[in-house]
Amino acid sequence: VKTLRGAYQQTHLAMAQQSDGTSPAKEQGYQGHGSQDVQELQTFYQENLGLIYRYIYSKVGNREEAEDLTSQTFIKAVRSIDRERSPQSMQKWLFQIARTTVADHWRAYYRLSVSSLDELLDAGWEGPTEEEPVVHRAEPDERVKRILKALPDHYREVLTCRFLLNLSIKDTAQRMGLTEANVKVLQFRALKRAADLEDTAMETTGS
Amino acid sequence: MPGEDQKRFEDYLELERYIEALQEGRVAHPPSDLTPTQARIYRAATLFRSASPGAATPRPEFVEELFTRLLALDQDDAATPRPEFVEELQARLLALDQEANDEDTLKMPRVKKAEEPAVVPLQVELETPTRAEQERPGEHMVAAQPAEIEAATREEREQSSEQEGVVPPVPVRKNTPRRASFFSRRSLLTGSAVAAASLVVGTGIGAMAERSATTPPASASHPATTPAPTGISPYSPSNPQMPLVPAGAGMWHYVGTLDEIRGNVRPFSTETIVGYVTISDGDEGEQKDEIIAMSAACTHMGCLVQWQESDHQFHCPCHDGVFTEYGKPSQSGKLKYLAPLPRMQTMKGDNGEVYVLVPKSPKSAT
Repeated sequence: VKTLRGAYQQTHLAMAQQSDGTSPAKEQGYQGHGSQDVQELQTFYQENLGLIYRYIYSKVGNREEAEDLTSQTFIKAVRSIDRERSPQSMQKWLFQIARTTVADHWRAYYRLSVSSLDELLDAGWEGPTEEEPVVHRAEPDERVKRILKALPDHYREVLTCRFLLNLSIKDTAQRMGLTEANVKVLQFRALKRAADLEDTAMETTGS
Repeated sequence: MPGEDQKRFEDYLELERYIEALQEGRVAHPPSDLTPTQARIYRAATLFRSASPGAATPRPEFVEELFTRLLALDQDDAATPRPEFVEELQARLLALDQEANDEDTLKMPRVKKAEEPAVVPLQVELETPTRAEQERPGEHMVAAQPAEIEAATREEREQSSEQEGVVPPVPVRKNTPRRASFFSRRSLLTGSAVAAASLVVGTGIGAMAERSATTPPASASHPATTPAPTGISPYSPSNPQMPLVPAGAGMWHYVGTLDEIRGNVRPFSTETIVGYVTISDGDEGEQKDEIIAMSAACTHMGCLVQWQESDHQFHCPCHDGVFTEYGKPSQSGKLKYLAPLPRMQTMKGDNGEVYVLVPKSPKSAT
């Protein structure tokens, strides 16, 4: 048994040496058996997972799809990762993948009605983008805060109640001294204004 | 005018339904007949939802699980050794094995070259049902994939297949091939980082495991002494007893006699895999006298684990992963959440010879 154990250790060394000899990037990855490689991947993952997840969540609005699309994004990224990139350009590229992944998702979902898809894309749902992706410097909740600040009081209040406090329409109505029907109208208009503000914000800060 | 008001009223209701779904965390999609302005409103609602406290924070389990998958994927892609390398490694192992034999003066049967059938009668029986699949493995993949994709994607499940015709040609055609390969791989990996990680040794295995996921059950006829192997689905960590090598993709490799293996943990190696075989004493919830064959590739990163007689455990030299003598993750290891070492099917001959079902070598498969 002892001898065999030795044998396996040697084999192991042999494996490492083997990959030392010829060293394109792939072999190096193997030689590391991870340690360095894994750390790189881990760093990349830790730095970006939250960012990408929140970005995608802000597009789909639910956990299930956010997890699914985040997974897809990272799987695509890892499969074609270029380790020579700088972290910044890696992040930019990752956002690009996330964006097309979300776009593909919508396309698959809405492909039943082609005309409405076109409308959606015209309307700015993440379409098939060949152009430079907009890198969102600010995280979604930052953007929301900025928008809220810029909104008139009653708009801000209705959106705060519905989205930040997660109040039902009934509770919101009670709190604001309105009828439920009023709240429905109000939130519709508030979101419309919010969308306008977001668009102008994007024009000024988007790169 | 009243019509217009009515329309507007419905818009408010529709938006309210969407907001409610968002609040409840349900999967909700904006209606498809929105005007551009309305679409922007729904987009703003989704954005605001993501600012709801805690909503857009990924679950820790998700973070962990995805990372495991990525690790496995990264290894699978980057660390698949070149065929020449596998050959050379195999040669070294053979040489080392034989050295060891000589030194130990054990009467260990020579490890046969994979091209020679290990056991002639068995080999013949096993070949028959799999020949067709060997000839055109590619076609099987292709044929099996549409079904997989449908099973794997939620949005496609919602739509019946005859609607394919209505699909806008450009985006979809562009999409399909990429998705197909993505999902076929994904079906292998879903929740099962392990399978890929343990496939690092041996080029042929990855392909086989993938093929196995799409191959219809081969009704192989086997000697009466063995239970017919039925492992067709990909290896799954939730079912560690599921063999690593499905019947159609394997060949029986002789690893020694019962007497030689009993009380030992015996390494073996073939062109495609390195593993250990042992016989259970009935502890750790294993059935007594069960022959246990497992891959030596650590389920973390695929390094070869080594048996340590002193503490009776397998140790991985790379990151201190530790496995018990039956390949279960050991409490004493530093790595948490390791999956057990994947097992392979075994079989006993009439005279106590023990065989392990190992992946066929890529050479012998052509």
